[in-house]
Parts: sequence; structure tokens; C-alpha cells
Amino acid sequence: MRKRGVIAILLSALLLPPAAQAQSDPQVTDSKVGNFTLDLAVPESPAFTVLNLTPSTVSRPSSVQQLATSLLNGVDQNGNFQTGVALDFQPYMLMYGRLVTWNKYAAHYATRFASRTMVSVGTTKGASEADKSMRVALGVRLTVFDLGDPFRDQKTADCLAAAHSTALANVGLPVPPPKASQTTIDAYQAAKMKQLAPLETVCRVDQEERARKENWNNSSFIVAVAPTWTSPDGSSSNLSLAGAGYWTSLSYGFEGLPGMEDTSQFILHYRHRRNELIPTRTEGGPSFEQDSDTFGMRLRVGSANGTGSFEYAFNQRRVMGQPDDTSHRFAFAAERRISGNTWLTVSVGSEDGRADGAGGGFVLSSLAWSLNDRP
Amino acid sequence: MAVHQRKVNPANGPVTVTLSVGFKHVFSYQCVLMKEDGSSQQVVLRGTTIDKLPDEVILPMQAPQLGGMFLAVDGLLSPVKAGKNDTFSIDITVSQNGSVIGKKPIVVSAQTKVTVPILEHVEL
Repeated sequence: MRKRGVIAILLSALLLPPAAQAQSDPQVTDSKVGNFTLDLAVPESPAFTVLNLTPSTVSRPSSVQQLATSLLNGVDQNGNFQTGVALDFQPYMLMYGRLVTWNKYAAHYATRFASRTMVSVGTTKGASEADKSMRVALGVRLTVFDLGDPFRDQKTADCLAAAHSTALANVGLPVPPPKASQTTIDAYQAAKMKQLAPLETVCRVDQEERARKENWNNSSFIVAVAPTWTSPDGSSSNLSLAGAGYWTSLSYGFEGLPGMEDTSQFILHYRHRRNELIPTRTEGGPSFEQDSDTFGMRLRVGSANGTGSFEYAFNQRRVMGQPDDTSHRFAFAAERRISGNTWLTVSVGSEDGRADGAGGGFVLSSLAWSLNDRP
Repeated sequence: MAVHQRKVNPANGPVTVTLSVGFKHVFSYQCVLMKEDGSSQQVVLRGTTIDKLPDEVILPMQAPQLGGMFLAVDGLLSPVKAGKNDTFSIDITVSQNGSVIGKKPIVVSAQTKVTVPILEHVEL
């Protein structure tokens, strides 16, 4: 029953329909303004975070995307090669987005809170002989506040609204009547778009670039929870509940500090993980359960298109019948927007002090993009 | 573009039109009252959905005079974040005596990643 539930969740997440179906067929006119984007880095998937498979231990609390997916390839903290995929989405926006107007979003905290809530479904598979396990996670991420929320940046919206109003005024009356020919209607719509195009381009170029530069590192605060399921032999029929993870991240964007407010971000992160099933590094060896706590901090320096970061994390692991094991993890990470909203993240570091001899150097990479951005 | 019907009852009171745009899009519009042939055009409401003003108007004609008239909702709608293939939704609610004519709003909904021109006619 439990396995069927997990599969059903994965399928429903992948097949979830958009909230509203087209009832009319408004003319969609492509324009050069579509070439400009306001997108910030795709957030780290909660599903990958709880599975300890994000390139950075310290998860950053960035703005969520309506629908995003992540791919992962790399060596995990136990030295085993992992591949995985995660799908992140905003259930409230998918179900009730039709009712979320700009003003309601700006005026009501509850609307923002519900809209930003992100659900994530992720699965990873060990690709080595020592670890053939399959792991599935279902994550929920709550954004308590986000000063970098692009939908609270009024300047871009104001610029677009002013451009619209100017274009409508320039075209003027009369508006085509209901029985006007399609040619007449098309010409009228084209005239509106022609009036708008240069004004909108200015808004997109100037305001979106300003917003990107100003908002990428703003302060925010998230909490998240994610139950996980593990199959030690990698078969879906043997998936069973393997505890859960809870974590929180608080970022500070140095707002009001010239020189740092658009270039730096400091993040504090705490994570608790219960009943995590850990495969041994020896082929055929038994898996074991552990609880762990991680406290980390991360300094990101850069711009909206790429950052370098340094992080430190203190980790304490508890395995029944064994003394507590503490370790320290240092990492340098680089995030770079490759094109559009596709981001490549690479981290290099080491973990020292583990009693089991695991840890040492590691390299992790992640490729992430948003599905609902440019095609 | 489409022509919708929301027939007013000549025996009832004033007619109210309300616009609501979901998914946090920016929509600027003019509502134009006109005869079927496009004559006698009168702008009854101009606005944008991102300001704090209500996107609602009581039509400046008595119900018996509105019979056979058309209301054009004419505007431009933009996603705030261009390049994202987001859903948008425009609800046009026509009410009389506090009751929604036709029981539900007219919903114009689709997906777009760029600005779209909107023109919808409502037969009153």
C-alpha cells in the first residue's frame, strides 16, 4: 500500500494539469521582449536536500519557481555515485492561481505564503556495486518571508502598466465592434502591440535587469520537511519508509549596506535527519540507520548570473550502539547561469573527522532548470 | 477574441462589471460600451490591475437602455517575468441587483510567455 502511495504521488506530480484550461483563444504575438528574463537561480530541490545530494550542504532559501526540475549526477557524502531527478512545483498556484491577483498577492501575507509553498518529489539511484539503493523523497518547503520575491517588485509592474496605458491611449477609439471582420480585429490588435513594443522593451531591459541585480541575494527564510523512502536493493517493490528530514535556512542579503547589498549573501542552515538508511561502502554489506544534525553557514559572493561560495558545516551522526560521530565539512561551490534559466553548480570540498573513515574529498555537480521558462 | 452573452433583465436595477486577473499578471484595460455596429462608443472604465483602485464599474445606463448594447473589454496583458510560459486568467463578472448574470464570470484563460492583446465583447 505504501509503495503504491509513493508511485501515485510521483505520477500525480508529473501529470498534474494546469489549473485553468484555455476557454478562449487570445492572439499570442511573439516579440523580442520575450528574450529577456528575470529569473534567478533555480532553488535547490527539497527532495535532493533531504537526501543529502545537493552540491552545497547549506541550502539557500531562494524564490520558488512555479514548476522546476533538477537532474543530479555525482558522488554522495558516503562515496557512492548517485544519479537522480526531482520535480518541484507550487500546488496552491496550480490549483488556485486563477484567483491570485497582483493586489491580493501584494496585500495578503497568507496569499504569499500559500503561493510560495513548494512541493518536491525526487528520486535517486545508486550507480555503484556498493550502493544500488533507490531513494525517494517527498519534500514540502514553506517560505516564511522573501525580500527578493519578484512579484513584490512593484517597479517592473508599474513600468509595464504605464506602457500598456500609453499604447492603448495612442491607438484610441474606435474599438472594433463585435461583428468586425477578423482582418479588422487583427489589425487593431497589431496596432496595440506595435505601440507597446518599444515601451515594453525598455521596461524589460531596464527594470528586469535592475531587479535581477538587486534581488538575487535578498534576505529570506524557509522551513522544510521531507519524508523519505528507501529500497536497499534498488527495486521499487522494496521501497519502505526511511525516516524524514527537517531543515531551515535563513539568508541575509546585507540590505542597506552599500557594496554588499547587491553582491553578497550570508546563509545559516540547520538540518535534522531521522532514521536515515545508510548503505555501507562494502559490496553486500548491511545498511544501517542513523540520525544526524547539521549546522552550516555559507557566504555567497557574486552577481545574479553566477556566484562563488564558501561553506562550513558541522555534522553530528548517531548510530545505535556506537558513540556519536562528529565531522566538519568545508566546500567551495560555483553556480553559473549557462543560458536562459539553466544553471550549473559544482562544489569541491572535503569532510574530515568521521570515525567511520568515510568522507574525505568530494565533487558534486548539479544541472537545474525551470520548465516554465523559455522553451 | 470572443463574443459572450450576459443578458441584463430590463426590470432589474443597475448593472455592475468587475474585472479580476489571476496569476499575478499585469493587465491594463479600457471597457467600452457600444452598439452592435460599433457606434456610440463610450469608455466607462479605464485602469490597471496592479493599482489599488477597484476594477469595477456601474454602467452609466439604466437596464432597459442596455439591452442589445455590447461591452468591449480591450486591453494588454503581460507576465511580470517575460519568457515564462505562465497561465493567465481574466474573469469578467456582470452583476445586476447583486446577482451574477449567467451564474458565473466570463473566464478568458490561456498560457503565454509574452504580452498578449485582449479584446472580448459581452452582449448585454
